[in-house]
Amino acid sequence: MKVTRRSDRGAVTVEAAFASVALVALLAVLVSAIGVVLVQVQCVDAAGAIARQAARGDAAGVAEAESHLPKGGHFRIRTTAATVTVRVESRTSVVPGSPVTIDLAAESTAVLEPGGSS
Amino acid sequence: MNIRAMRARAAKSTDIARDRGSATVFAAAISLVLVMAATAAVLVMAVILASHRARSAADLAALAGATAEVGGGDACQAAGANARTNRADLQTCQVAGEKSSFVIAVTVTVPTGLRPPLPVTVRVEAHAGSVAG
Repeated sequence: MKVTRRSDRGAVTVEAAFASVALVALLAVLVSAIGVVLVQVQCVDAAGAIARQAARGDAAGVAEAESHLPKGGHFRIRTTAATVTVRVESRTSVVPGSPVTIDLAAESTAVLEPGGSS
Repeated sequence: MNIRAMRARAAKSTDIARDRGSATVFAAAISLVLVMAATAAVLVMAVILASHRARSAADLAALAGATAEVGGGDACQAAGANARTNRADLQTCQVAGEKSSFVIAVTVTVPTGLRPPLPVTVRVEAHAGSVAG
């Protein structure tokens, strides 16, 4: 006797394979979004810390605060008569190791303290 | 009756559910959970980001106020101006003590970008004062 009906056998396996690929992709998007926000938080923290040290005219403090920069991040200091503005920028891979990048930035302005000149 | 015939008969009968589609239902359920987790994560991230910005802005506003106080200016006006530059809003500002030894306490808020049932702003307090001696 020959069975002509197409078997369901294996259907669940194939579905599960497609589904798990989709789920892993979704999870990857979620995890990388969290990673990007964490780098943005690092930018904000670094900009604030560097601005505070620069306002005091504390070069050693600025050097120490630089260690809080996100990986591959850099900063620029703009000084006016009374204020110092620090802008931290970081080009971050959306997924670690991927060529797709996003530019993150944070800016902080502090008032120069008496006796402090950077 | 051999096994193959039994299986063929089972497949024809309607009261035996087929397995086809069950993995899709399972995946849909897990996706729903993941999307809900993602939404929760986005909301938490918005608050975390705003709180870091508020922390930084509050510290710098307090320092700006203290600098103005030492220089004989209006501490709270200076704190407010600095907070605005850092895209934060000065909510409260109090200077305690006299010129030689004072403490300025400020609270600033930063909008989270979320809707009312959720926290709309993050409020952070900071202090600064004159250097002793």
